[in-house]
Amino acid sequence: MKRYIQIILNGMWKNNPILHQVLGVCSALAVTTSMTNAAVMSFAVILVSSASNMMVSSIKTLIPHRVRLIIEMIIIATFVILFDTALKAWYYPMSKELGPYVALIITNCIILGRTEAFALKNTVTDSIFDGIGNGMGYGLILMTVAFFRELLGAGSLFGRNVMPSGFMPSQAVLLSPGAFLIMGILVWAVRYFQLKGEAK
Amino acid sequence: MRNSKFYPYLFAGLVSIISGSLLLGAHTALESRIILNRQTEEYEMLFDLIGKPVKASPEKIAGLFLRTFKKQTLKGGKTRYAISENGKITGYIYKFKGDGFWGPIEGYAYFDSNIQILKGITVTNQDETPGLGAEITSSGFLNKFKNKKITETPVSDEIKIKLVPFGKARNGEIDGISGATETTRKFSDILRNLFVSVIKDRNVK
Repeated sequence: MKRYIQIILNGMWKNNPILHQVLGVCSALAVTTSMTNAAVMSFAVILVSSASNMMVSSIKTLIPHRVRLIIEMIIIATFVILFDTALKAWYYPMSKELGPYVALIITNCIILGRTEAFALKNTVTDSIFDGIGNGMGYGLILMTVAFFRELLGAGSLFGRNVMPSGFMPSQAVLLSPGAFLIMGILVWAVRYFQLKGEAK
Repeated sequence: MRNSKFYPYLFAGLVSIISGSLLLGAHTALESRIILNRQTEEYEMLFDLIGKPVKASPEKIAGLFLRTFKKQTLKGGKTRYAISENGKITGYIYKFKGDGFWGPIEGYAYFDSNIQILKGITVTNQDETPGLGAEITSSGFLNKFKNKKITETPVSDEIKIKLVPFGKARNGEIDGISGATETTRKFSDILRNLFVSVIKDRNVK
């Protein structure tokens, strides 16, 4: 069990896909205008990443090396489209809100990166936990960025007003430059404390 | 078998077939629900358009829709919704559709019972550039179309409502969207065609 927790923590913190590998930044900037959107997107990535890792790992000895990327993409695309269809059927307003970004999980480098770097070389169980860990790492950053963007840009959290009535929301943080700025500060702050910790 | 030169093609083909079957199964199982969601969303937009927003289950909204909006088929196969309140027609809704910059733009326009006043429009479907052309769906833009008189004479050149570049609107005109010249032009054409068409129905009850 300790081993699995270690794999998850590794994906979430030590080898976080956004902070350390700078993967999946595009969607991370696009969907972080609200915490609800970020939560659904994170859940989708955790689900797709763990399921794709599981599938690729379980058939890794059968996959011909020459076409492995195509096979990995087909598997990832299948899970993403299944999730997108389910969202359209059971959570339609959220599906409209997220627009094309759910479908674009297919092109999210985190997922293909983990199937290629981890699932092809490790056991099925380890791969599932690696997918969960990396998905959670992505989600952690998404939720943190969304927290600041929704709070400062709309004065709310999960759609509920939390700021005093005199608060003036800033449109700038809801726009892409604001997202870049918050993401940049976050990467700098986390890396600063991590490197400081490593130096000790 | 695995050493055969055809193995990669066979394997990729097999994975594609399994993937395709799974997606087909999911789509078939959930299609009716997705269509219901889309339909409910459209009904809600129409209620919003006539200023009577509703929040209820899809079944209730569908029932309410059938009681409020009466579909009429006019000469030439043209259709519209007559809005019925206490047995009296209070306005008409026409669907509009045309080419945008990237794809089709669809929506509804709401007119008073004499088809003299445009009471509002809504855009239900568009593929314009996010942040620019896609602003045609923003309430700020759509609100500019509320309560605008359309020309008295059914001649296309005399239609008064037209979209003009931002800040250039004179009396009877509507500001377009900055940075979305093509979408503005195309949207303007779609609306002009609609007005030319609906003015002919003024005396049709």
